[in-house]
Amino acid sequence: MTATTPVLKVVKPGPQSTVQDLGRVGYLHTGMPQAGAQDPLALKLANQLAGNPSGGQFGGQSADPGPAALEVLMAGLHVEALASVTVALTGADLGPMVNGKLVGSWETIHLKMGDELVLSKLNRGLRGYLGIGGGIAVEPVLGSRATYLRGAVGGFGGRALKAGDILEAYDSRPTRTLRVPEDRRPPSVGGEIRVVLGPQDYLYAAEGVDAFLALPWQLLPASDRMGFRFAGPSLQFASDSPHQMEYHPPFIVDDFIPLGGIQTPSEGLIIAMGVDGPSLGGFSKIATVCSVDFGVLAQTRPGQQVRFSAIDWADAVHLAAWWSQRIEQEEVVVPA
Amino acid sequence: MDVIAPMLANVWKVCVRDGDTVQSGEVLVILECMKMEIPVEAPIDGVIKILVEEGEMVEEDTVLASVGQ
Repeated sequence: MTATTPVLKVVKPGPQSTVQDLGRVGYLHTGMPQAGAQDPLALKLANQLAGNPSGGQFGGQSADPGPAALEVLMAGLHVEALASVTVALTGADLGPMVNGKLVGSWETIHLKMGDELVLSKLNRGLRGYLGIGGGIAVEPVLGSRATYLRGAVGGFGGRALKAGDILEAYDSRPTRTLRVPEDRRPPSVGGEIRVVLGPQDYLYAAEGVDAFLALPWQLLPASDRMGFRFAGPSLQFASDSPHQMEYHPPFIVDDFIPLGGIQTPSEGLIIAMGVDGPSLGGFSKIATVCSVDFGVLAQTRPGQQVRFSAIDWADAVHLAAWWSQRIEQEEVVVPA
Repeated sequence: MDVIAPMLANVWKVCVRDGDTVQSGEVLVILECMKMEIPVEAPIDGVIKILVEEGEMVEEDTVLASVGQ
């Protein structure tokens, strides 16, 4: 077993800070959500900037969830370094301050024992990722250190962090100082959300699919990592849709839900499933969010608008692999 | 100093009264959003003027309260 060291003490946890890696891949068919970072590319880069491996490809077949970091919802987290430790904040801009001085996001931060790191202000986006050198040391559950809050599974005792918690990290060596320039950062807030149409797009009228893609959708407050609810136009179904038995769309015989699957349960409402989403459901799905754009879902605040655009399945697969490879080959980071 | 809503949310609870003297870090309003309670704290010490009511939906950047010195 690798040795571990207590590295950070939680002074204030913020609204919701959880231990996350790339998730628990391979159990969705049993009803266990994947969990893990809702913005997986930001998590990978937080790890890399903190000197850690970036893990396997999100949305791919790889079961390597990479090292665990913190997913931090909004500003408010305040931690004290209990030892020298390398960290990095990616994802949302949460105004990171060390000992009262602003420091950069998307770059390596070397903390010394006694340093205080405060995420002071929600400037842009919604979810920050705090990579920690060596990775957070918690016992993996089903191969992953990700926290699934509703199931109280994994991470730090299956729960969000509280004041007084002490995070341990696996021992690691001091690392280089790196950063991710603004123009190399992965898709985030304000971006278009790319989707692959289906699995049940054939149930909708052409006008329904056109409206889904052409018009803006507003993220609703009742959204979380389980599902992202959007208000927008009502979507017309095909009059001759090949319904199943007595089921008429949006109702279908219960069917699997892929990560990012977009259900259309009622007029003017759609739900894009997040990393804590369910595995089965009886509503038709017009489209599926491309894994490369999970960061846009993660970083959009309730009240903000998004648009969807459709790409081919092959392009979605290519984009996911391309981002993963570029990160792994250190083509996204530069020396600071 | 104005205290603003970070996003579209429901005002779940107003924790202080108009004219109360509060300290920096004291919870003024609890918003309900993302299936959570989100506390909004006073940024500085001062006297509070509350500008929203419980049950009200507020948009991003709505002024929830102001803290005067």
